[in-house]
Amino acid sequence: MPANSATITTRLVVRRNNVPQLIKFIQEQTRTAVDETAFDIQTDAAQMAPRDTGSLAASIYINNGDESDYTQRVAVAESLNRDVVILERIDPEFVISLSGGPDASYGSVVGVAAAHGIFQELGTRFQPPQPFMIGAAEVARDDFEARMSRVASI
Amino acid sequence: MSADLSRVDQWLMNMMHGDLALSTAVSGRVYGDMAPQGSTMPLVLFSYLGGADKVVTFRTRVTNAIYLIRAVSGGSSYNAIEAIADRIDEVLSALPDQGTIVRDIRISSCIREQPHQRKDMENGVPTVYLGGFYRIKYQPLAVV
Repeated sequence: MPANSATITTRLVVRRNNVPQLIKFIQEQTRTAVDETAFDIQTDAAQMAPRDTGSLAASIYINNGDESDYTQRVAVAESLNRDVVILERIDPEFVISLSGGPDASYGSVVGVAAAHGIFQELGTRFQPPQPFMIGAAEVARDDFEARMSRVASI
Repeated sequence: MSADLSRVDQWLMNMMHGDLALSTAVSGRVYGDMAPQGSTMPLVLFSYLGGADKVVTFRTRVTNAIYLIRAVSGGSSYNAIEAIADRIDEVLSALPDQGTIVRDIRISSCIREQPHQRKDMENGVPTVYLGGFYRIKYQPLAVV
C-alpha cells in the first residue's frame, strides 16, 4: 500500500427491513390508482356514449379480477333493451400485458357488454363513429399518470 | 380558435388525397368519418376518436388527438387493401422533424400507436378494414 493512502471500512447493519411493507404499500397504492381511473373511465364513457335506449351506456362495466359489476350492468342493459346482444365478460388476465406477467402487474378492464358498442365506437364505412371509450380513456390519461407518480409517496 | 380538429382533417385529406400512389389506388376515394352511400371500394376512411389538451403555459396548449385511419374493401381478404394500408402509413410517417403548418396550427407528430384489422359482415357480405390508430400532436401557432 502506498504511504499516502488509507483504507476506509464501512459497516452496514440492517436493524429493520421495511422493504416488504414498502412493496405492499406501493402495490396497494397502485391498485387504488388503477381502480379510481377505471371508475373515471366508466363514468365518462357512460356519459359520452350515444343514446337510443340507453342500453349501451348502461352496459359499460369494470372487472378488476376480484370484483366486477358486469352482471348488474348487463341486467340494466337488458331491461332497457330486450334485443341487446351481450358479449362475454372480459377478464384482466386475458388482456395482453407487456409488464411482465400476472404477478408483476395489476389491471382492470373497462369493457362494453353491448355487442353493438364497437360499431358506435369505430363506425363503419357508411356510419360515422360516435366514440365514447377512447375519448374517456384519453381524458383519464393525465390523471392516471399523476396518480401513479404518487404511489410511492409516504 | 377551437375548431382546430378541422385543420387536422384538412391535413389528413390533403396528405392522402395528394399522394399519387395512394390516391390512384383508391381512385381518389378518401373520406372523413364515412363514405357516401353506395361508394365503390376500396376506399380510405379517417375518423377522430378522442383526444385531450395539455396546458403548457397559461397561453399555450398541446393537443393529443387519436385518429382511426384505415383502408376499406369488400370481400373477406385483406390482401386487396394491404398495399393501401402500407401506403397510408408511409404517407403519414413522412412528417418532417420540424412538423408542418396547416393554416394556424403546427402538427408536430403523427405516429401509429396501434394496428387495426377488422372484418364486418353486413347482410352476409363481408367488409375488411386495415390500418391503424394514429396519435397526432399539434398546437396553435398563435397564443390561445
